[in-house]
Amino acid sequence: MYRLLPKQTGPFVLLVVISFSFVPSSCAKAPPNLSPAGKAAWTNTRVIKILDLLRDTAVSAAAQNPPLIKFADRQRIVLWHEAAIKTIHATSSGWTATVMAPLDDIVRSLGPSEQQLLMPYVTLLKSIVVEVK
Amino acid sequence: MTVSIDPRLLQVALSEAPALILYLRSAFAKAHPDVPPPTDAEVLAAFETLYASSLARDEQLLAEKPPTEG
Repeated sequence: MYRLLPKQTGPFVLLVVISFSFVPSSCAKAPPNLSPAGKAAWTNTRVIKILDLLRDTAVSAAAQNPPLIKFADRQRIVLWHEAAIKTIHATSSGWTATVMAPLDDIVRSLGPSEQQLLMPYVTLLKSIVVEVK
Repeated sequence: MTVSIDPRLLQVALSEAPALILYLRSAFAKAHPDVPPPTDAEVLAAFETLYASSLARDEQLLAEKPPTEG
């Protein structure tokens, strides 16, 4: 752990770090010089980063004591993540329904607190998916 | 008074570094046309690298056993 900042500025700085982490990858348009394959790879890179974040959040939540999410639910999310990135890698485009429908099923099956934990990442993912469609 | 920063947050920021570099290069190239934007090969390589590392992490996580009680 790093003890660097006054307590009052900590949350603000963390918000800035997270915001700057996402702005380039979630809002950047693909450069116009790219071919259709390059543009798809650009977009899909952004999507996989958000999928990774969602998975890592579930993993971190399951590692808390007491766990914020059940190990079995964590594994379901990891399994879904693995299938999702394989689909994206294999198809490049037209993967949105295949990837998003199972995620919606998983989220619906979770308890309210688990849903609340993951919902910001699901919302972020859906906002990117709207662009991809 | 101080506050702790979770190293995982720094890790997330670092993991975004390649996308940040590509974005900055792209933005800079608009203002300075002599700087080439990222090429197809660079973008495709970044995608393949991310895919491979993400998949490896999934396999590692799926191999983990549930924590035992007590």
